[in-house]
Amino acid sequence: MVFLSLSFWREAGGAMNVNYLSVAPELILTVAVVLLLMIDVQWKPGYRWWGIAAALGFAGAIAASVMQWVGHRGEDAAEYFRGMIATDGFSAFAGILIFPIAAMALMTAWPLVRSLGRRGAEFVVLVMIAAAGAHLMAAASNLVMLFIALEVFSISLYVLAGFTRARADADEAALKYFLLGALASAIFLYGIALVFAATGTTSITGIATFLGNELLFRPGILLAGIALLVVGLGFKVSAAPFHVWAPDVYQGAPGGVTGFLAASAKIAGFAAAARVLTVALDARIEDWAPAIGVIAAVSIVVGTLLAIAQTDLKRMLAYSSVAHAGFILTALVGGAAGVADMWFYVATYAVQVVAAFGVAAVVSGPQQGPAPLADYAGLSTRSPGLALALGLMMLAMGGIPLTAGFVGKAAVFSAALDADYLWLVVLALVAAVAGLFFYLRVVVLMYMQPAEGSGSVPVPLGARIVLVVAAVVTVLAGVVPWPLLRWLGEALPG
Amino acid sequence: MIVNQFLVLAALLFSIGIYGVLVRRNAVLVLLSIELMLTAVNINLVAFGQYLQDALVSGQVFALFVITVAAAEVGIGLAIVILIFRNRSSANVDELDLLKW
Amino acid sequence: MVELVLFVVFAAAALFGAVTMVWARNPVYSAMGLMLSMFSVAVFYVSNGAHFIAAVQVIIYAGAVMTLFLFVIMLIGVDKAETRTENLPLQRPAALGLIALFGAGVVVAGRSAWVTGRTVSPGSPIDGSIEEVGGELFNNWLLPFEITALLLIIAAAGAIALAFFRDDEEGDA
Repeated sequence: MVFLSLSFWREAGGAMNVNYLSVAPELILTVAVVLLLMIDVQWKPGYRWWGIAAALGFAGAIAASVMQWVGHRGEDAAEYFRGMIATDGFSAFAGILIFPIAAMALMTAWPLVRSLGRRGAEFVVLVMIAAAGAHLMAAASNLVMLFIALEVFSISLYVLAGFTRARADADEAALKYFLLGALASAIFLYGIALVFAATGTTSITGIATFLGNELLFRPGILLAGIALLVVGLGFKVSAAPFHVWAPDVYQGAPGGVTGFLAASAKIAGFAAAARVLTVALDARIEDWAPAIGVIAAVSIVVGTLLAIAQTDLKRMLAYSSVAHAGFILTALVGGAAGVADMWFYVATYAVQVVAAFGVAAVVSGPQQGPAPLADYAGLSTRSPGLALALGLMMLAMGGIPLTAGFVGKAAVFSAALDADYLWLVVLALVAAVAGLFFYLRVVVLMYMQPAEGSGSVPVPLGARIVLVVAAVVTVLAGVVPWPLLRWLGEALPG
Repeated sequence: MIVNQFLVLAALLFSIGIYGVLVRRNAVLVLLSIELMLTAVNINLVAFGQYLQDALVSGQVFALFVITVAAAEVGIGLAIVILIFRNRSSANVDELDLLKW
Repeated sequence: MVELVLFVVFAAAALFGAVTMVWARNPVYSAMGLMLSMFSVAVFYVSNGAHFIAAVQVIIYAGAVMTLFLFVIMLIGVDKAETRTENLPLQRPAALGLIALFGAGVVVAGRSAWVTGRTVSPGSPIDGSIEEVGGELFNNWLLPFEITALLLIIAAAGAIALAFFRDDEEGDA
């Protein structure tokens, strides 16, 4: 990528090492955002223009991520901008994952965008910036950078959660999300400050070098810092016991937004967690791995048990996402060896959750928060395609063989077994079987109960494309997972 | 001894902030408590930066970023509070009970 | 000695402000309490050589941000006392318990070591002047600085999207 890199030299002699490819996805998205807003203000071309600008932005960002992937996969991280950002297979794959997911989420949300009137432009802009922030979280190689990326990402999501304004429960979801999210950010920040105190640097590779070379006899501050970092990231990925916001937010937020909320938070949160834990704190794995194991176990149990009791599809998916956070954390107890397995689970789960919430947005309405399960009775007669798509996603989330969910669970369990966490794997297996109950309940409801409402459910074009793509990906990754698994072996943080 | 006192003070302020978040019911006051927590972190950052003789001034620059982020966060937070207030004439967190598990 | 006296006086002021903020029934007093804390903290910044940060703290934080808070408090009319009857009787003790736990954690961490690792060479105190901070900000911290631009776009677009009601609103409203 020599042709894209420019170096400026400071008088003092150090290289600024500016590299435009390393921030190309963010640059392209930001340019698209600015063009969208400026042209919208000036000529008011309406939602078609928003769609074009967003499509161009995401296409450019995906192309840039692919270029990063081609140039950097499987290599050690190359750090640019004075060690602020790392370009490696890990960050490139995060881009290849997050931008299509965001584009898919925007497609399912398109009816919502059109119903918002002039405010739709801001909605599209916030989704694009949130995606850029999520990618920056995966690419940040300095804790300061990570914190700012986290805030760019989270603050956009707070606004998106309350975007419909008219419904009181959506505002409530936004406020809960905001207050708990800001609290989590403050805790995360305190953790960064303590780690900075203990190691004297905020650079992720700098921390790794320091911890690798020095033997700390009294690591009190460092351990407290690690604990607070884990709590802060646990909030973002909705791992129990830091999950209390997730059900309320997922249920209250407008249907079109929820899929993006759920999928992008998982991708960005776990990408950041993987880089911080397995690169910066690798030397301290004996300290954090047991804590991660306990959080994983609690998440799996709490998420599964509470999901069984739900009567609302979005709320049930929220608790199921808590359980999935636990499954994904199971891969991380193995440290760096589990990162590829984590990626596989995160990638396939993100696709499933966008599709599942996409169906909820179509059936229960893109503006609506609640999605009572009664709406889904007999869906197979009202709309066979939707029922098939939702059923497939439920089976995949439950971990039925020949779907991506099964391979993902197998992958994270093998990672945990390699790290000698047998108790965790046994617990997770039991919970996975118990979890089948509520996933299959939805399938039974759709196929074996008489329809209450009458008439077919019209499916917008965007949602149709997203559901087909998600179904194909889910089945393909379940039947022939090897190419993806092999690629993911090159998507490790350097 | 030059740095411990600041750490204790920061920890105290942070704890008071957490206490405020947990017990105050007005959303604006919860937000104020979060600001207090961020300030506590800033004391830590500046004091550590001084203690470590950090040539990069990381601590101070980081504190600057934290202040920026906090300002943006406050802007959005107060917008959400005003929105809630328009819809139901109250900003008490306790009364937000439409969503229950 | 002067430093110690300064520390004691302003630490007491900061804590007093913080406790006022948490306990005052009237939200305006709470905001004032936080403002007092912010000013006191600015003194510590100066004593740690962070002159520029101290100025920013006073101008932006204690000035602009707290004024915004006061505006909103007045605007939504919460400048009336909040009742203290608690719907969740366990919440307050639970909060205190958590705080105690956190304090214990801090003490334990402090016993083992306040600051670990990194050997510190005694040198001249770092310079927190505008030149120094600005030089570092635009060299080493250029990218985070640029990213805060995104943050400001979000803050502007988000606040407009949430709280600005146009007359010609279509769709919802």
